[in-house]
This record gives sequence, structure tokens and C-alpha cells, in this order.
Amino acid sequence: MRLRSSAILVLLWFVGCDRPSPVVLCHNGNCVSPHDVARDDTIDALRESLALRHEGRPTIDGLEVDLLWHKGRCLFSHGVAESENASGAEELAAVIAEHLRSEGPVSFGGNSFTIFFELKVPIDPVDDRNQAGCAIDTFRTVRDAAVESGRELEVIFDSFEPRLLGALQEHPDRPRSEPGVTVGFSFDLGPGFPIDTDNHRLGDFAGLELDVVELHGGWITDTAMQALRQLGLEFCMLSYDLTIETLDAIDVYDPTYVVVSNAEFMRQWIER
Amino acid sequence: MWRVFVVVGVVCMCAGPTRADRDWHLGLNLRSELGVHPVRIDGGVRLGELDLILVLDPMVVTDAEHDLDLMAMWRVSEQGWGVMAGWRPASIEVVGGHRFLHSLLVGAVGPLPKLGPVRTQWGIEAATLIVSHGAGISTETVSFASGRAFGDHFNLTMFVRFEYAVAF
Repeated sequence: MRLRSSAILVLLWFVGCDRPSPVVLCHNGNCVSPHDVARDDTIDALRESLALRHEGRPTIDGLEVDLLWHKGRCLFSHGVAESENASGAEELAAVIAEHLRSEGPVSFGGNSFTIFFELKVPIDPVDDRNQAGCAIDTFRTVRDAAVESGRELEVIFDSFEPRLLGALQEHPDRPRSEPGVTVGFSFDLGPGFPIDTDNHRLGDFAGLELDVVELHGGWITDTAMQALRQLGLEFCMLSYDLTIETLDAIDVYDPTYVVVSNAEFMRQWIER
Repeated sequence: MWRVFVVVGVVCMCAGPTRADRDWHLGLNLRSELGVHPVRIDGGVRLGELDLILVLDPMVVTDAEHDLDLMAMWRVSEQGWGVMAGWRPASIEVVGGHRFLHSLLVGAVGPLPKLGPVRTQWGIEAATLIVSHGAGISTETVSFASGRAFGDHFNLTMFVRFEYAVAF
């Protein structure tokens, strides 16, 4: 796999292919440098990330944020461990809506904005429908703001857990694309059990509508990448930090989206 | 400064009869994984059990990323097994200048069969990104606060070296 990737790098040199120009998404709504993981999925970090500017334009093209249904509440939270002091998802939606209604460009790309809503797994599977409802309510607030403001909005609902995507797609009020608003679905693929118990096998997502796969370039084999390409899926590449290795993964795999924790570095690398 | 190295080199080479455990060497440092460029030039000096190596990256011309290594290898067996430690001050061009990423390298090396006059060596390396700075972006240092903070800072890879040596 890696020899093939290295050969691709050499080939790119010869043919002078264009550099990747992915949609830059702010991981956990927290992509200000220096990065502090303790501020992931917090309102303050979200505001600061939305306020980042590169050459007068927003540095990012959108957000990747987490939604969790826990103890009867819809939360903007990375997980149960972080839920105690988490803000409500309605506050997350309000901040995004405020951004969409603001003057000027809302993304580096201009009038378009992309959001990945990651559905975290509730403790009890009984809450799957509530988790889906949580995502739908958050989406509606953001969608309304985008439509009122004439913004182009792209929302991707994402999860490690196939049953959550299923609950959302089977929900009577499931979000659908409309003029100015594009809705899609993504699943997360990482190292399988027992390395990471969150992850499911590719086959576990059978029967679901899927548009995007979110993965980490260092945790995927070439075999899996080839299979995913053949399924016609778009790639969203996650990195916890931008290193030589993660940047080379973006170069080689040329994903449509990148999810990063250092937006300034990412933007300066893309625009070099 | 380069004149100093030339003088040192000439002095060392003229210092006395050549010895089997001292040589200058130049060759290729190859790896097949994402990250560091796959083909780099490495050269150095072997002094008994200690080998000091500088790895330069000609593929910098392809993408303005330079993966430079400074390594010390210590041979622990007659067969050529050894341990290594080093520093990788990689740099990558971005808008606003260059971003520098400094990694600590540790690893082990082992002998491969010689190919005529060419020595070959296999190695395994653990690289830990310690600090990143430059290009007007805040300095970032390694954090062990959580898996998300540390996850991309550690990489394990293998490499192969081919080198031609001249004893002195």
C-alpha cells in the first residue's frame, strides 16, 4: 500500500498535478492554534474558530461538531465524559445561525458553509430516536438561518454507529435536500475491533444511504481505500494534528473534506 | 564553514592507515510509507561502533517539504545490529513562510546482505513530533492530555539504507 502511495507521489511530480484544495472543516468546532483538546465542542472555542480570518476571509469552510443525547438533553458534547458541563445543542445551533446571518463571506469559499454533525452514541440504544431528533432539531435552526440569509448550506450527518444513521434516515422528519440546502450522510471508518471498539466493519453500514466516508489517512489500508473509491464515496480526512504524515495523506488521497484542529496551518498549506 | 568540514575530512583521511572500523559513507535512505519522502540521500562517518548520519531530501523540489534527519547509530553486535537516536527538523512551505516540525527519533537497525561493495541495512523508527513553529502560526508542543492531543504525533515506520563506504 505504502509503496503504491510513494509511487503516486513521484508520479505527481512528473505530471505536475494540481494541489489538493479540500473543504476545510473545524474539528469539534475548535481549530484555533495553539490547540487545546479541553476546549473541543465548546461555545467559546466555536466562536473563536468562526472568527479566524485568512486574507480577510473566514479561514474555514465549515465545522465538524458533535451532538449527544444524554440524560434527556440534546448536547453539544464530545461524549458522555464531557457532558457534565456541555452546552445545549440549541446554543450550538444559535451560534452557527448567527454566523450564517452575519455580513460578508461565511466561509473561505464565500457564500457556502458545510457542517458535519457527528451523532455520538447514546449510552442506551433506546435513545437512538432521541439522538436522531436532536440532530434534526439542530439542523432545522441552522437550515432556517441559511435559507433566510441566502446562504448555500451543506449538512452531512455522520456517525461511527450504523444504527444511528439508520434511526435518522427512518425518522419521519428526516432532513432532505432542498434548493440551497444539501443533505448527505457519512460514516466513520477507523481501526477495527479490538483496536478501537467504536468502529464497525464496512459491511455493517449496508443498506444505508451513504455519501461520504470519514477516515484517518494513517489508519486505513490501501485495500480499503480502493474499495471505498469504487463505492463512489467522497472522502473526508480527519487529522488530530497536521504533521508531515497527515499532510502527505491529504496530498495522496485528495479528499473532498478535511477535518482539522489547526485551521490556520491547514489554510496556509493549501494556499501555498 | 564548509571549508572547515573539508579540512577535517582531509585530516581524518590523512591521519593514518585506513581502518576497517572507520569510513565515510554515502547512499540512499528509502522508505515506503506516507510521511517522510520515500527517497533521500544519506551520508556520514562511521567511527568504530558509532555512526553519525545526515539525511538530506532532494525531493524538496517536488513539494517544498524537506525531511532532514540527524542520526546517531550505535552498533551493539558484531553482525551489525544496533540502536539509533536522532532529530528530524522537517520543514514545509506554507503561505507566510515555512512551518518547522521537530521530531525525536529512536529506533533499531539490523544488517542486510551486502550487494557487492554496497552495504545494506534495515531499520525501524519511532518518530515523535515534539514541537511545531513558524509561518506566523502559534507554536504547538506535544501534549499527552488525551488521545486526540497525541494521536498524530507518533509514527512507527521502517526504512532501508544502501550505502557505499570508503575507509580511512
